[in-house]
Amino acid sequence: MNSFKTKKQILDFITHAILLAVAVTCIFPVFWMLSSSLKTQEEIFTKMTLLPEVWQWSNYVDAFVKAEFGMYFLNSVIYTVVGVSAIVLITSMAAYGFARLEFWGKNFLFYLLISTLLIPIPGVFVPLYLLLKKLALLDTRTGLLLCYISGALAFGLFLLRSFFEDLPKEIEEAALIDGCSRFGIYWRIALPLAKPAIATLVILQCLAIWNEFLLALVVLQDKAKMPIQRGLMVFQGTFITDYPLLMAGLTIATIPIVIIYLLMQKHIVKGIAAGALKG
Amino acid sequence: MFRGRFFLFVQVFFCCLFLTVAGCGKKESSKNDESAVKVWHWMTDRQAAFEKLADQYYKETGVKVIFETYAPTDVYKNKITAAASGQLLPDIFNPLSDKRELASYIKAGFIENLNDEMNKGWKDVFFEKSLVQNMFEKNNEWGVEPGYYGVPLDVSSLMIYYNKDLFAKAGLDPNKPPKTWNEFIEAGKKLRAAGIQPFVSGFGEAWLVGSLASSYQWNLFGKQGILDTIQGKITYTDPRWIKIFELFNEMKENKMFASGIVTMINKDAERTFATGKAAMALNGSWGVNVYKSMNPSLQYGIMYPPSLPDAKYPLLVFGGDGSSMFVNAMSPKKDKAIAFLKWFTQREQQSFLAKETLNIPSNKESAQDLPEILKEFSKSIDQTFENLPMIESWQVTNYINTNLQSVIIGEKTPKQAAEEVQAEKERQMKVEK
Repeated sequence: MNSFKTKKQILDFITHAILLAVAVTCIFPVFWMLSSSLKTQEEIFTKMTLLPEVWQWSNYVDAFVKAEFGMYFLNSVIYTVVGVSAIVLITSMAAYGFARLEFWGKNFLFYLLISTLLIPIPGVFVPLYLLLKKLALLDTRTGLLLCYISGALAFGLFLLRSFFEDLPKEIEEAALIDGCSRFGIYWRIALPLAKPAIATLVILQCLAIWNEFLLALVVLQDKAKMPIQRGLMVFQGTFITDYPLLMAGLTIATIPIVIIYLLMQKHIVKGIAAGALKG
Repeated sequence: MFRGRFFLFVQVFFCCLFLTVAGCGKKESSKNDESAVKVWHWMTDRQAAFEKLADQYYKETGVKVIFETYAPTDVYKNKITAAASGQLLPDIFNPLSDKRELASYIKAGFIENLNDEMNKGWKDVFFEKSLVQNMFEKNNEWGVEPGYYGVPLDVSSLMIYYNKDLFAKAGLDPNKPPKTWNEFIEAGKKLRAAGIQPFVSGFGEAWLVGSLASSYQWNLFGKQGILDTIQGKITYTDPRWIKIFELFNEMKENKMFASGIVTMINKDAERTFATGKAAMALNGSWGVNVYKSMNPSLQYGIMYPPSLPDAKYPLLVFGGDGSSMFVNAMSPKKDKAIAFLKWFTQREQQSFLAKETLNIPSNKESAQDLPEILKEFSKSIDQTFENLPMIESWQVTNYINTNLQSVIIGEKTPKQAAEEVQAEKERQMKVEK
């Protein structure tokens, strides 16, 4: 019994040590970001200290002012809120359709849509640019939002379809007998039950849109419409990167996404497991 | 019940918000000043300086100029490519391409030939070498109409920086950097003996290792020899080419390279030099600004790559044009754009830009207003590579660079490396035929 206990303790110790090492490697870049955001440029390069000698709080004010974060922040909030809402609405309806409705070419269409996940964004810059130009949507918020929404549809479908397929059909049949319409079942039964998967989709898409930069830079020209990542670009010159201000800017840009993650984290593991494993 | 209504309300709210934002699209576009000259640049750290000059130009002439900077460079390049496809290029831009690609932009009608304007005296304000890189000579291999196409904003060159304190520590004279190859190797030995890494550069970025090799190509072959090599009249197994590979091997044998140099990007190499972890660094004139930002107290000087004792030709260095701008030939505002660039490249504006960005201005008169170290760099502009009417295929250039890296890590002997490059050259010549 004792030897079993000792073995278990050793195993626990090793497991915890490994987990601790992994946690430290994950946390260290964040710590470095916070620490560097309070140092001077010279200190970052010449003194390898964990904490700043003199805490440069003014870096945050400088970063906010220089990068014009106020304007970019609002744009990013609009892109994220509108984009994610539209993605959730459209993909949940489409995924429910693919999960429950029978129509000709259903699987072919589904896999065709899913296959768009394989196309890298830089590969579609030119055709997308031309398409937006023809639609007179170049350099407009709408154009960028449509790109974000269409780009996320495949992933949303993939995640939600398997979740809807797994819901017990009996509940829906009971609702049908009670006179509920197909849309009513989707709206009143399927959607509320899919909350964990939707929470996952929301957080992942929030992250994707909030951090997106390449597409915005290609589609938009007017600085006033650019997202927050454009602000960070100011500190990354061709030859010189202003690390203290860049790190301060990154910290500012990270805060909203961390808050969203903390608010929704309990649903995420459930959602990812449900969507990915059965998909 | 309440939750269901709330959920419905949230969805409707966001749909309305979406439609509202969607509706804003056209109105926002119309806010842009259509009469303004638009410039797309990739150096975000120059945005403030550009805007100050644009404001000054507006006050002087009433013409508005809008600078939009996009970084990193690959994103900027993507944006240019996409805009060219949609014929939506700004009035002034740079395709950030090699000469072959630049030629395709010109032939597609995207870039204005500035020959007439330049020949009216405009070209006289520039360092000659800054113009030739974006100039096409008669009978060039791309079939482009001869003339000047680019307007240089600054110039640069690639030299070897050396740390004066580390030189002194190793018993070397900090005011007499090595001038010949043998002195260079001897200095490396002394530095290594003193526990100092002698030489660093971002050789993980193949162009840097290739640039140093090209300096010795000019040194050993001269212009005609290089052209003969491109045309296949001189092979890469020529003893002089093997000698070039041997130079890198000699540096390796004498432990001159900093550890990990072959995988090092230039930003890491800059940090290594700025923090005193290597005594010499091959880097461009932009390094002055970089080192100042990383370590303002760094004491350094610059020197040419050491020339070879048996070389018949002068040793030239990589450089010339730093960043140039091109006028959109399809723009209805191209005259305004040219007028702005003329003003932009005058001495006062160039001196301001040089002071703000610590780069060498393209206007040679402004170079007199530079800090001492940049003045030294500016003297090297005349020693940069000459313009060639043809260039080596990128496949062969890649082979040269990767084989140089192989020699540095001891994977290949100089002879093997030269033979591999020659084999690739023969393959490419067959493809061309």
